[in-house]
Amino acid sequence: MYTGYSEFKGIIESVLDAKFVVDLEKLRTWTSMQALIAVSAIDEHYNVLVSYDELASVSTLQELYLLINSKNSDGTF
Amino acid sequence: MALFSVHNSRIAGVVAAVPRDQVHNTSLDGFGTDEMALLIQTTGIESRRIAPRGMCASDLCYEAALSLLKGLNWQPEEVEALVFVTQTPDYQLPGNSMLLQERLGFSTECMTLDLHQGCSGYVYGLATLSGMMSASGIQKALLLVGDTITHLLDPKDKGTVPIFSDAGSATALVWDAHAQPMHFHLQSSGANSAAIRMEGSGSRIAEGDGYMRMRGHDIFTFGLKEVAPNIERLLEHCSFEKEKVDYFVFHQANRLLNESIRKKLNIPSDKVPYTLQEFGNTSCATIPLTLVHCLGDKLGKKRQNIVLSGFGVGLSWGAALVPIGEFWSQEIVEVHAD
Repeated sequence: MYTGYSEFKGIIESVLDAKFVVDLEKLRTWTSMQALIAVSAIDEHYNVLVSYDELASVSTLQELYLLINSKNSDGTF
Repeated sequence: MALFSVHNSRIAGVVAAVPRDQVHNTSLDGFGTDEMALLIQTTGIESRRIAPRGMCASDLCYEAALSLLKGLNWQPEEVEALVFVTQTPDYQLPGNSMLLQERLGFSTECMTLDLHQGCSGYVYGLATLSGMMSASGIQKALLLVGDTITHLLDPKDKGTVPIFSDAGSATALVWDAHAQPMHFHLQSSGANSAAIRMEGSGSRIAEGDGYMRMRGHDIFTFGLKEVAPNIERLLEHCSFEKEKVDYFVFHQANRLLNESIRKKLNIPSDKVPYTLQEFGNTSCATIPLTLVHCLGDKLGKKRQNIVLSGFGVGLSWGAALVPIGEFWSQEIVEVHAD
């Protein structure tokens, strides 16, 4: 289990090729495809499923990290 | 719990058919270069087959069935049951199965049935027809599975147009007292039916434009959550070790989702074939299409144990563990408009 924000950020950076990212910290600039890539990585590393509404409720990577930490390992669907 | 085994029935052959017309995603309007590059990288879909207006799923399945019947040397009057799985029938009524009974020259003693299923349709159709054969003693039967799903899309919808593609298939099933059982685990969740829906397309009065709409995020998280446990429970039910499965043929949804499922199940990549790159997501036809295109030359030589997994609209999902021994197939049939 990963626990630190820097580790989380590293995971997201590694899956979202910088070439395609407008701004890693501004989630609302992510395309739907980038969002799915991040959701897949979060599920793989944290065993947490992030729904569309949950992702829309946060606007920064830090907020997304806090959201994931607040969820249990069963996901949401 | 729809977790069960079917005895005395086996797959004897499969043929798939696609429209000849091919569209490359890079030729689509409305996408930036980077946007399309990411889409192709993520979905794995480079090109798709598009049925021209007037070409139906029934036409694709008909061509597949003709080749299959010929290859197996089956006479039309021998076929006692025909099940057609589609969400793009020729008409609201009657169903495609009756139309194909006549078109293929089957006897009026042939029973016909239509199933309205999407991406899980091949597994559901196989379970339904094999179960019916096992219970009835029907000797020879045909499962036709296909969609011209591109006819349901809003041409401006960037979430569906680059993904979906058209195909049909025909699968021959025979009654065999010595057949190894097929095992199934079928599931559904109508609570999440809005994730893929065509509002304004049926009898229900609803606001909608009659196009198929997909909430991609919802479908993606559904796939991440449900598919792997469905397969694991199936294998547990029949006490079959995952390592002994020769191939896992997944519904070709998109590469990111399918790879995530593969990793969850800890399956080596050489056991998970793909046809996404060439054929995209052909709805209920992806499994038979992938089976023949990627594994056609490997099947029929020795018995292979194959897991089939379909998931999507409904929401509906299911997996089958299918032993395939004696088997006939051929290259994918290309169909063009007359």
